[in-house]
Amino acid sequence: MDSLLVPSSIQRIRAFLIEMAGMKVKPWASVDETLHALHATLVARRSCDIFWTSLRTLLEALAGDLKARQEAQAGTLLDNEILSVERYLALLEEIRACLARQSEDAPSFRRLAHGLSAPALGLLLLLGGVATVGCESTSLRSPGSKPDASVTAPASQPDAHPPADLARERMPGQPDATADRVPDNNPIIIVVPQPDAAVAPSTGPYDAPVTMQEILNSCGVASADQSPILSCLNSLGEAWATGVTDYLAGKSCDTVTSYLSDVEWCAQSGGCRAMPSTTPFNPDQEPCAQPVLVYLGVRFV
Amino acid sequence: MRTTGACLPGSSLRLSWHPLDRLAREPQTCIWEITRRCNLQCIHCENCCGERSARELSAEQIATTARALVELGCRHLHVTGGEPLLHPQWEELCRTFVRLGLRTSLITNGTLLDDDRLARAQGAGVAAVGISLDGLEATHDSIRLRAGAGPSPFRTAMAAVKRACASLPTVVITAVNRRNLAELPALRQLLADVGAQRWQIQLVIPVGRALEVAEPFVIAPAQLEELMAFIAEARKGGQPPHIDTSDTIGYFTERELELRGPAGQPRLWTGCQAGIRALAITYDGRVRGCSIMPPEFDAGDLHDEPITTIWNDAERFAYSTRFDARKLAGACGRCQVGPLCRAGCTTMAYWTTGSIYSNPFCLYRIRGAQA
Repeated sequence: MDSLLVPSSIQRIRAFLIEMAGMKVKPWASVDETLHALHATLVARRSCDIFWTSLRTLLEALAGDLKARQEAQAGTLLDNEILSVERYLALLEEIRACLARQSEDAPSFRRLAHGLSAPALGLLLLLGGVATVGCESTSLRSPGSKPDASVTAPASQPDAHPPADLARERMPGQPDATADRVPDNNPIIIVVPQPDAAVAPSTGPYDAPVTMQEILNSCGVASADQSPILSCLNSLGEAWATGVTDYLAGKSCDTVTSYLSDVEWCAQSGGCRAMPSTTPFNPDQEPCAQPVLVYLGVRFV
Repeated sequence: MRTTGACLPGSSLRLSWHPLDRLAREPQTCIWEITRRCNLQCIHCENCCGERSARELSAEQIATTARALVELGCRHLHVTGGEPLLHPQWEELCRTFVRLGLRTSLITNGTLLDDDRLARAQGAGVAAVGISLDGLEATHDSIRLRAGAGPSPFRTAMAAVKRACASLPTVVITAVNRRNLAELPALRQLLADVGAQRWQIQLVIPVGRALEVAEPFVIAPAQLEELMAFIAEARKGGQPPHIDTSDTIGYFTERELELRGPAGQPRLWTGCQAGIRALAITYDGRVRGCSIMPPEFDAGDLHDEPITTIWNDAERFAYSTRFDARKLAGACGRCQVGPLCRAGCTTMAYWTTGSIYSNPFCLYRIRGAQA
């Protein structure tokens, strides 16, 4: 083993998920999606003794890695850890808390199960989530990532339905999973914040038309960036300037900044050009005369 | 479709598109491991090559796939292994590839490329040869281990380089590591002396047997400064061998333009093209965007599906075709040019961090940390 390389937390978690749940987190899954998959597994496999043993091993490995990084001399280890120290520590705490809770919960569940008749126990399992009991692999999906399918679980396994109390747990930095929970078999939700919208177009006969300046302000575009954008739009001609404004009014700020970044790109590369006055605005047409790559003040065509 | 793209220098806004989003998706270049069999046991081999795999594709399967590759737009085929010259039908396969219109090159460890095989390669229409050379004699032989007794792998490889340079376009390939980093200037002189015209320099990636080397073997990111200075200076002179800098090396320092592209045609790094313009077929028929990618990146298996089905499903190459710059993490997530760079070499990023969205082997990042 190359002594420079301490496994990153994401590498540890990916290996753990494959080993314990047969869950292949797609290579293009984000860090949050990978942590979320771990969290989902913590929920779904809570009654599997082997799982908890492995989780303890994961915790020890993560703690050991952190210690190795902290004790290493600066520059001697590969800087391959993605999580910040704070987030890393929070992850350790989260796993420790799960382990502690498990050691408290497991006996009480077993006592409860032991005291129930077979039909009652069956009903309990059905209501509480069959897949949370036992060591079968469970299929856990992140609806928020569809159709990304960043997490793949064995297709033959039933979906998990974790108990509500555990479904509310969150990984550090994760949004509250219960906020957008849907009442189906997909209890793990990755909440994608909806972008704010730009100021809406005027509708009433007495409303003043929305200006580009207002759109830029409403989307929080820095004033330093506004100037080249407005200048470029002006040089494109009135039809285009008006068309762009009408097109962006009411659109999400993501759409606004996305489109205007093209305009700023034109401005930076000197590509803004006057469109013929007869040319109607077309949102799919580039406002640039010729896109060029600009890097550190050097131009490449 | 508009996607989050490159950050504009000095701006808080981001381009809504990325240069790779505007490339027509076409597997122009394919690297094909036709066998796992190898007569060397290199300590950095990503496939732990040695014995032939029972799942290797038949000559018929290879020919069928090659025909489909041509229809998909493939133009360049790099035949490798294992040691491709140990495939019993290597010559016939190369002839087939050439007949289909593929510019075919052979990538070999050089130990078996004698006069006879070189002539047969030429006769089959092979357009170029790539020969691995990982340092001066002692270093090369400490890395590229011979399984049994025999001549020095370095000496046989150097003899092959001389032989090949006299008859075919030849590229020497060096995987840089801690053992050979300091030897690069001497190696360059050696290659110049034997008339080598091209020299591809790449980094050893911590994968396969490289993970089992007892001492630190993969170069430290901080050593990239020394490596890039060497490459930039060597390229500046314009003297052969011309250095081809691999995708593992960079990114975005003031010397970026001195690293890439043919002489006089500098190119800016704009992200990994695996799955967009490049494709790899493993010795056992699995398809990936790049040959060094781990199995998680498998897009399909030629034992189960034709290459056309696999390639045409862009979703299987989502790490490139749907790269989401908003997922960039760690230092790459804070980097101004991250969305344009896409965390450099996807394979290096993934093998070292477990994520394609952060890459510690980046000089721009290292300098930022040191500042």
